[in-house]
Amino acid sequence: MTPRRRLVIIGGGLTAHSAAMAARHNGFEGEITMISEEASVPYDRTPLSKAVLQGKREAADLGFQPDGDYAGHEITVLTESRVSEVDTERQRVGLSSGDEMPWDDLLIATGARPIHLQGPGFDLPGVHYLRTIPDAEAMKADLERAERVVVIGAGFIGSEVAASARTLGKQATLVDMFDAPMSNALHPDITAVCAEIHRGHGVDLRMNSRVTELRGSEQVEQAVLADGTAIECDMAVVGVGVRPNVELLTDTGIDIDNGVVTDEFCRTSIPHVHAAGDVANWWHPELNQRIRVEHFDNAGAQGTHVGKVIAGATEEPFAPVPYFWSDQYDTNIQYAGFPVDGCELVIRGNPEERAITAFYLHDGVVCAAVTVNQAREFRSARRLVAARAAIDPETLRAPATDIRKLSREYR
Amino acid sequence: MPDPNQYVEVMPESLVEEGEMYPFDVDDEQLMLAKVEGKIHALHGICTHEYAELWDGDIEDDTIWCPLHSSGFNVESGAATNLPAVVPLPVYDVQVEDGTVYVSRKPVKNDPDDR
Repeated sequence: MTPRRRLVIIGGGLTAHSAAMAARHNGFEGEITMISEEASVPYDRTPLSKAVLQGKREAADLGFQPDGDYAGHEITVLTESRVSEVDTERQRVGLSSGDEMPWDDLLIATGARPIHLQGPGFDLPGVHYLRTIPDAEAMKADLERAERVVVIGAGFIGSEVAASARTLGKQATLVDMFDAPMSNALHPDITAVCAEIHRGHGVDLRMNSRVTELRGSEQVEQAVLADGTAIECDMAVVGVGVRPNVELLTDTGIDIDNGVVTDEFCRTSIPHVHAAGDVANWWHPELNQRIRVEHFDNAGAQGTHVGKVIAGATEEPFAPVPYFWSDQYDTNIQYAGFPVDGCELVIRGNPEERAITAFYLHDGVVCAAVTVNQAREFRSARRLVAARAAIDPETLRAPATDIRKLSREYR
Repeated sequence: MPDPNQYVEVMPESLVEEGEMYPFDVDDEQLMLAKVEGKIHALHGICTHEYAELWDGDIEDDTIWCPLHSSGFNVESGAATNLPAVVPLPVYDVQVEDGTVYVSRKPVKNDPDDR
């Protein structure tokens, strides 16, 4: 009898979950062990900044696996367990408990962690970052007593937290170094709409600015902007991006460059070692470049893909159309597409009504699409992106055009 | 005609188009019809992840896609096939008689009352 293969997954998020399930259900018959530092089995982080903060969903209900049943799929999840060493020569990982675990296949799904700002006062109580359930619970507890919240960084986390704070009736100030919220992700004509949505909900937007210092005695009481303006606050939330968790891999021979470098099959520079999710900087064969994506959809899809690769169930490269969404107030924002410089933006609908579908056109081809409160058109727009449809801008813009019908021939 | 205590009349079969979804209300629940490869299915119309009206989404092959966050559901079984949804969609029985589509008032599969 040949010994069973052993797949060890470092990480306990969406990518780890998806990979374990995909490997198990695509013919991987060996042992699967997931090693997670968190106390919870894999769960959905996306409601943390929204429904959980607003008290509409319980953190205990966020698990991906109904009833947390991994044992029924012969998947072992070690929670509150930390990998302290990765040995790629002897094919073992060492745990901080002192245990060693041998592997035949290793998946690095360590994700990313929030970038911590290092200015004066940023270590005061009342300064929050958001990644995990404990982070969200601490933030929620503070938000219950706070009246004034300063949010530093107007990306996804910052914009959503500001929206949640306003939804709860708190005063919210949103500070960002760019012209408008979501500027890292979206075209300026769309981020202008995002800015109006926040202003319309009473957020004090401080764009083209940054917080240089936090002040307070027992806890944070003031945020000081670069121009010297001091904003009174009862708590501060920092959402200025994340860094991939790669420190563990130093001196293992695994190539690191803005995350773990992989090819289009999620393979690292070391045989039988794969990487996926927020930590992976992978070769996208259709973009002809490496990208690292920090969104829910990619974490799940890449996890599923690498699970199949490890199970030997696919020979396809991982080449998705990047996709993300954000919910702020009653606004749903969705984006699908390939980032290309120098696109023409074609907008359908009325920006003043904060309901638009926008297409990014490059050489006459639809390469990305965004909907703001136009979810009904999103899947159709995404299909045009996937098909690289060449459609006349006037047709896309015309209110009489039925995008759902138009997209059908690309189904 | 099926027992009106157990089935509701929805619409003429001839108006149900391939690849389209049609919302209707039954006893304060929002349901929908979906026609795929000539077969008419009836499912709950609200995404199990967060409130979203699935008939504003899309059908591709045998998958219904949520318009808000791209959760996927199998049109036949109601199974959640693409995250973020993890809970399956209730499925209802469909009867076609004399050119009219009737749908059961209670789910025949994935009834939330059974969980």
